[in-house]
Amino acid sequence: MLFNSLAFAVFLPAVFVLAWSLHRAPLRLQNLLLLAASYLFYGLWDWRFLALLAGSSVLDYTLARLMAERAETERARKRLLILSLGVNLGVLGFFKYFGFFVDQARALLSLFGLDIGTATLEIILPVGISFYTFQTLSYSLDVYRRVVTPTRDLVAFLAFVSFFPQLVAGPIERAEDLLPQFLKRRVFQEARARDALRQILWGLVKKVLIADNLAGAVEVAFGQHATLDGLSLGIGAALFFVQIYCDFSGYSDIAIGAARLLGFDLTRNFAVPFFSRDFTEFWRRWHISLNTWLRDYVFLPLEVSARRRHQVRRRTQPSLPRTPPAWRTAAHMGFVFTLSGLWHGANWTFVLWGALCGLYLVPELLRRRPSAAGVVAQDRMWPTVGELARMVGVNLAITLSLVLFRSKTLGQAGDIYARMVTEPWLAVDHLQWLEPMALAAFPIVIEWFQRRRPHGLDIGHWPQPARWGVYLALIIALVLHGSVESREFVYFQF
Amino acid sequence: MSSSTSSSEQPGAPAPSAETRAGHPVVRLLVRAALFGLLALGVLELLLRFVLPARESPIPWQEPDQSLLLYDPSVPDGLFTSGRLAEQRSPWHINTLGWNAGIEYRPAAERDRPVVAVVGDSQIEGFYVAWPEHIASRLSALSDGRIEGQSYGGSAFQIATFARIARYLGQHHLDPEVLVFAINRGDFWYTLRGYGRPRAQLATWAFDPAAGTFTETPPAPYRTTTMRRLMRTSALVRYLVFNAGLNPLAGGDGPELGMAELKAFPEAEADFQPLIGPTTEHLLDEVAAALPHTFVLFAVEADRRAIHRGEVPAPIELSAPIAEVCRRRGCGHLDLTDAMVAAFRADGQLLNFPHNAHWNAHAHDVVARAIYAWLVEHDRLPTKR
Repeated sequence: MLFNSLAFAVFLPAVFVLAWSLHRAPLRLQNLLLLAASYLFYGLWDWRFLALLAGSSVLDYTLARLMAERAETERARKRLLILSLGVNLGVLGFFKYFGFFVDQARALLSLFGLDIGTATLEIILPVGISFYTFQTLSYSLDVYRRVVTPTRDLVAFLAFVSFFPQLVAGPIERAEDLLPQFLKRRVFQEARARDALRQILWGLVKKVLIADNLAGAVEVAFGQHATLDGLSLGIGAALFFVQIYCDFSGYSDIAIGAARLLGFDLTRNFAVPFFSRDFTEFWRRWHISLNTWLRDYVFLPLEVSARRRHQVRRRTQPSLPRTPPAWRTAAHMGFVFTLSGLWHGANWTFVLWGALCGLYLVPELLRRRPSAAGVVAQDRMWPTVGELARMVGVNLAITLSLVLFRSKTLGQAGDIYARMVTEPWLAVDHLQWLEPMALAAFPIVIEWFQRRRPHGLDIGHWPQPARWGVYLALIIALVLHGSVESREFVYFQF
Repeated sequence: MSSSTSSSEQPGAPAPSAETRAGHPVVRLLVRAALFGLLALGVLELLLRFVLPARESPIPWQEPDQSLLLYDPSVPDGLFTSGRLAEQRSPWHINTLGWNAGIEYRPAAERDRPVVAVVGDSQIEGFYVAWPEHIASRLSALSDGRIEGQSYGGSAFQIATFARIARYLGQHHLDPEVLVFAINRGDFWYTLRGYGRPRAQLATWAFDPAAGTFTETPPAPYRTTTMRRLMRTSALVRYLVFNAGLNPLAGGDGPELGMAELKAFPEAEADFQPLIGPTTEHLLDEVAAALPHTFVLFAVEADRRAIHRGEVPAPIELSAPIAEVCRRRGCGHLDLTDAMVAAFRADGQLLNFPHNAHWNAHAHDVVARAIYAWLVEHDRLPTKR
């Protein structure tokens, strides 16, 4: 069931009414309702993978309890953690990366004249597996690190893992943030629910009006790249940047809004990334839940471990500097970003995209200067020329990297980069790009003026006639110009 | 360390506030949302009635003789639009027999000029163009009014329905001098393989290769549905269904593809090709029985997508088997590929709408000219009665 489908337009209000009509019932019953709704939501996509979802959840629930209640030594706890990591990453690896690694192994062995045949398994990728696996993994890791006390409430835990607003494409929630919300009575707040509806509307506008309408132009740019000039390809890449932002942040807005309607707070996943003045700030504002996950569970452990090793070495070599060299941090960052690329998909295009994004960060890491804090032009309407130049630079670099992300093969990406450089930029007119460019500018302009607010349609403080006028205008725009193809969200494939 | 404990361990959970206990905020939100929803629906309804007109469709009516799905003549006029912003607009007129045409169809005995009747699917039904631009009207104009062009088309009409139209023309003594079948990809496939439920109002045929016989499954009775009633009442619903293409039953200008634009061409498959000839012959038998003095011409659609790419495509897979039958049976065969290629090369104009696969006015004119030229060249242009 897609958020941008008529089915969801019936499903969400039904769950909303049912959930709040049970607000005086025992909490377990409320959670059971949310669990049933979430499994229905997921099962309508493919009921066969419900068992995988349930199995993964029950396993982590059990291992976490064993870790806290039965494991008597640190070694036993570690074994249970390794079992959780092994099963979760094994399942993810099998469904997502099996074909990729088999292909790579085949290519490698063929270099030595070995043939392992061409038969491969046709494996369907269960939607959302990358997201809910990371969510359950964080639970196991946090229980192991004693950041979270494991819950004994199985229903609440299953509902936490499968919570339908964020099940298939995040935000990737931490147990310490979301699980407690299933364990206490939720109180309806009308103002919050109204703002949730606004956020859902803004998410729909970004997805249906902007992203899905840009998809056609982007498809032309990437599908017919061999016939396009350099400027058209550049515009196509920039449009893809806006498309994927509106697609994914639109999904996140709908997810956060739907959760808020039901009394839950989810993590903000995008925070006006176009207005970033450096790459560090960009990644603080883009797909926040994944980046903080990778920071907390991969990057920081690597850094801490490196620092420990460095301190041990310093004891024998006092001439060493107090902190490990910056290049080591840069290497860790590069590894994390490459991993992030691989998380997005089993393709070298994603791996290289991640590596390139990591590379962008190296100069900032080596300089060891703190990243820009707060939102740009916090107390002003407009940015300074310097800020504007830095924002343009960051966005141009990210746009270029996204050519890799969108291309089906490295060859296609290479061809597009080559044509951007070698083909003339102004030899033909580019009028056909004007409409999609205007469409792409719309959310950026709105979010500039709303950059200090949690979402683009946070206008609860406006007078009611103005608010209703805006809602009406957006709904009319959705009806008249929204894409009707009910395109899947791009991040569903990850 | 944060503490996550079981709900069952929280007997002292805070009691709901007075507001929540009363349940009012939820109800208030629902009422406000409903009020806003009604306002939005009202504004959209007005907008789509008076500013950006949603497609107006005539009311379907199944005529009693051949169960053809025509239109209720009691609602004779409207504006047909397509596209998200109603970019394409054309008025329609339902004549007293229930066909979309700018003229009345009279029995042969009552008319003063011969008729060339064009039979086909929704392209020939012609809602996408105004009557003066329609192929039938263009045929009259090309002959300086010496012949009358008539059109008998309907959504998804195919070979089995064409046979019923021939019977209908005979029953109503309309007896055209020339009957032109506009053939599209899918016409034979849907005749022999059926549609499934949404198109059950159309006849289909079953072919017994051993006996060489055809059996007809007649059209199911047309029944209106709640959705159809709603479409008549609400411009917003019509817009969403037709202009925006949200209803999978009806298709729309986005996902809707005419038969000529099918992505797969099952009629090209080796096991289907041998069925085209016998099916064509059976159609000719039906026409001969119903309209013994009528000359039949098959005008076969071209691969317009290839033409628009600048290619000179091969005739579509139906063309050769039909030509073969016509050589034996004496009917006419006109493949439209050459005419369409020449037209596109001459001025680069598309032969359909940018967002819709149906013929535009230019294509209607090109096809009318090709048919007229063929009739003249083959001395088949009917003369005064």
